[in-house]
Amino acid sequence: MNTKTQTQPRSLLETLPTFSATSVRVGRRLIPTAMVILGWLTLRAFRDRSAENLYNEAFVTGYSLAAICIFLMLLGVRKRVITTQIGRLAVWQRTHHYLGLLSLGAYALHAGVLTTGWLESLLALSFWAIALTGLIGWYVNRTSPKMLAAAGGQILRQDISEKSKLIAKEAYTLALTAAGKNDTAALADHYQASLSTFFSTRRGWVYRIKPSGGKRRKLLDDLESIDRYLSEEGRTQRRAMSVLVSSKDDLDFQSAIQNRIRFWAASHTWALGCFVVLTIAHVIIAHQFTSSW
Amino acid sequence: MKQYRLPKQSYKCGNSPSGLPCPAGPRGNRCSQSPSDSDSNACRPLRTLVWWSRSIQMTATLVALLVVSLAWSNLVGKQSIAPGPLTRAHAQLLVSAQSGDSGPHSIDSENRCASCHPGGETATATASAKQSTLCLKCHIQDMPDAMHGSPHDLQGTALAELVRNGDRPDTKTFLTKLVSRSPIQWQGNQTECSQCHREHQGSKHELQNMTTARCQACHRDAFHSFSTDHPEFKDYPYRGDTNIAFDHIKHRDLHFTKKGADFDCKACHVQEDQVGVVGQVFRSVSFERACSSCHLEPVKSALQDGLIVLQVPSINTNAMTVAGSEIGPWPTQASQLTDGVIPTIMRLLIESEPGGLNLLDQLPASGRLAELDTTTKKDRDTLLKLSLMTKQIMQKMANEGQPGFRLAVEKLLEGGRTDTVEPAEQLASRKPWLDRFASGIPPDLFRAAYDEWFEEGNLKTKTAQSAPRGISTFREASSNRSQDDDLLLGGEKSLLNPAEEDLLNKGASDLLDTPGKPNPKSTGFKDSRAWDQLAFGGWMIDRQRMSIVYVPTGHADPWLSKWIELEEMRRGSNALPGDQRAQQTFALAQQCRQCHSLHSIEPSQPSPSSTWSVSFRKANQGGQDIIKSDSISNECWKSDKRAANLRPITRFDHGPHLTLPKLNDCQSCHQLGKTDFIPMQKSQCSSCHQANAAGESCTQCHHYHVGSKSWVGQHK
Repeated sequence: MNTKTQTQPRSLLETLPTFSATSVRVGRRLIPTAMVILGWLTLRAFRDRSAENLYNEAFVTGYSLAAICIFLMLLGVRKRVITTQIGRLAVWQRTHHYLGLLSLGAYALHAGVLTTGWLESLLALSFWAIALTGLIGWYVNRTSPKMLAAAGGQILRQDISEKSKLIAKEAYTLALTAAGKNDTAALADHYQASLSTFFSTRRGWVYRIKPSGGKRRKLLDDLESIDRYLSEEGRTQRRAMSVLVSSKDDLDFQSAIQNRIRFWAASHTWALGCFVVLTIAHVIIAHQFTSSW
Repeated sequence: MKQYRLPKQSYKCGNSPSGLPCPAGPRGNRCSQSPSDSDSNACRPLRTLVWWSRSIQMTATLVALLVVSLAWSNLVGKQSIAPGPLTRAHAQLLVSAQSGDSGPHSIDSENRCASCHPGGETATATASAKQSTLCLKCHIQDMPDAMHGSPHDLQGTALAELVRNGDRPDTKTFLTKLVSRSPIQWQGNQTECSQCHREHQGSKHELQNMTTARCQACHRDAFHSFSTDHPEFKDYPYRGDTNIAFDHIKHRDLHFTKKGADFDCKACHVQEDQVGVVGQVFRSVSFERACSSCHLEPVKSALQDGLIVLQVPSINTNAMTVAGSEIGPWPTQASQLTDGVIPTIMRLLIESEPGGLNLLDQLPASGRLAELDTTTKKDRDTLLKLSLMTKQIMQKMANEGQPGFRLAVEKLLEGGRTDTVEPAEQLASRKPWLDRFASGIPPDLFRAAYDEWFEEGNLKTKTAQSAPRGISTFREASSNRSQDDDLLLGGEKSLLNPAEEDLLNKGASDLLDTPGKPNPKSTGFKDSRAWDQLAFGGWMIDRQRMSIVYVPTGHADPWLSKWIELEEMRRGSNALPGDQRAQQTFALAQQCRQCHSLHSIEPSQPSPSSTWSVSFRKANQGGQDIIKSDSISNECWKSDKRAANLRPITRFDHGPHLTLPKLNDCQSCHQLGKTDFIPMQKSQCSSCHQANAAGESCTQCHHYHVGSKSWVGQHK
């Protein structure tokens, strides 16, 4: 029996190569990365060519860097202009990230790693501050969504306090209910002793900077350890209380991560004005002190 | 509600931490639900991260603006804005500023940057110049032609030649040309020092290090390696001029062989007592080092009779007197018969006098006075004129001294031309040469000779007037008292008593130290030993030849060389009539020409300065080296014409090469052929000079800062 004769001819669409989600994801990173490397190599070649032609290569790399920085700042403009949207914001952000990488390479070509001189150092400091906060923000932006998804899905930051309040109220109500019976009173006592503060207050700075599940596990273990003092109804209430502890901890986690994202996004702009002022001064001085460019 | 939920608000509801914010949110920094600001129970809106971010951003911007604007006037000219440390070579800019040095190159701390950057001027500094001009304030001595700011420091025809050589058929597209065009071309062949020499790259940065690619900004022919892309050598390294006509082959095969001497290159060209592994290598060697052992004695022999500057012509005065032509006082030694030849310098001096050319035309073409017939009136008149001219010249030299001689030489240079007016610059440029020429003339000697030979002549009172200039003139003035002073003294021989007169004469004689001027009237001196007294050259009166003689100091006598230069200048400018050229040649000059090869510019050849130039042709290649009368000491006489400040395009250091065993023998590179040295081949160098071996960058063998002088010397 010849199997080839029984095979139906495939459609044109089927003959095209298919890509898995992973390969698409890798491609989305590789292509811009390759473009950044290509851009840097081009800039370096342009610099070398300029030097060979007796142009001042510092002006070539300097103005290239300035052009890149101006394009990077256009993201802020794009975010603020909501009436006429030029391109998708996601595309703008991805372009911003990879151009930021290219700006690091352009900066290295222009000024090297270390600089001397009071003004030059200040300018370098502001550039590195912006670059460093940008890189951290980029890293946080890329790693946070997974953590947020694991901690309760999409929750708006401004809704977190309200939801925390609701959870705290629900826990309080549950504790009051438990306090009315002897076989569940242990849960109310435990709430009073260990959980009321957890539900009613914000987490400490250490948690907000580096959130962890240690307290959550301890609270849940402690809750589970009072099961022997509870009746079946009490154990049901205890499980409900455990759910509320987990929900509150998830909200705290969401708050910490979202604040972290906002912090690094905000800090990325702190030195921007200073950088622009120093750059203008740098350009004026460079032209004033150079006879050939 | 929607507005409140946007995350860009600077304030949020004061109840947000409690989890129960107002749905409307705050209005600015006020609660939207509160009726008035004075309500103490009203909600206090809280600042958001946006507010803090904007505040930090604004504060940082304002601080930067404030700092830059306040410090701007102080920033300019301060080291604080320097983009990097200076190189070691320029470190003294900072050192002198810090140490308070007040030397010529010191820089005060305020104007430290302004010493190199025109834009670095502070309020106290007002000077404004191009940056390259400031560079050259210190470097002008090394590279005088760099001030033009042109490629390779070339100007005029040299630059035109360079640019013309750089022209190639260009097939590039407009965009390619736009990108690849050098700023030098954009700027009309103007360069800046900073285009190649980049400062503020750190103390270890070598400013002179250049990549081959930088050279190719202008030299567009592809250069990948020395062996494949460098042009073949042409006459290297024998392209340049040599001032000395030294025939290596003839010396090796003839002279050295005859003497049985070893023809060793290093014997002349290497000085082994110098510091270094191989000693100091000389391209050209001095007469004393290389030639004197064989050529000194012949030179001395040729010079021993001296150079007759002026000679009393021998005229048969009796015959002249009998025929009715009285020539006046004439020395007895030169009165026996009409004979002799007018010496060359005397002919030139006659030519410089009014009517001198006519007199020379009347003399026999052979120059021999014996051909003149004293029985004919025409020849007697000629002899009479000659005798008067002789006295006139001696009078002039005695009375006017060096200025008079200088004027005579100037007239000779002009060649009697009145049709052209020389530019003032050219006239001024001749002055040093003429001054130096005239500086050796001793007027006292002419005065003494005139006094001795034409005692009853009409020497003017100039002698007495110039008496304070020299003790010797006292004696001559006293000896001439019988002439002019007699008119005043009315028969008295002297205003002094005899004792005082003896004292004066004695003092003058004691102080008189002119070696060639023994006074025959003075009994304490030996006239006959004048030649012995001039063993090292100088001026003397030769009483046997009735002449004033200059005895050259030996090889490279400066006064004799001036006469030869004068003769060559007159040849080059056609100042001499053609039929007199052969006669004007000095016999001594022939000796000089054996090694210093001199040739006049052909009349048909255009000359940059037809009157004042001499062509000293290259000894073996026919190249030209123009020297001018404005040069005090012309380079053409020197064995090494490559002055210290000349930077030829190609440079070569023998030192590291001679340490290699296979190159230790000079003839491994400098091979003698049948007629001359065989030019080197590129392959001789490229065997070692490769990228991974001895290197092959352009600047390894080539100078950039060449200058027009070096270019002319290299590209004839």
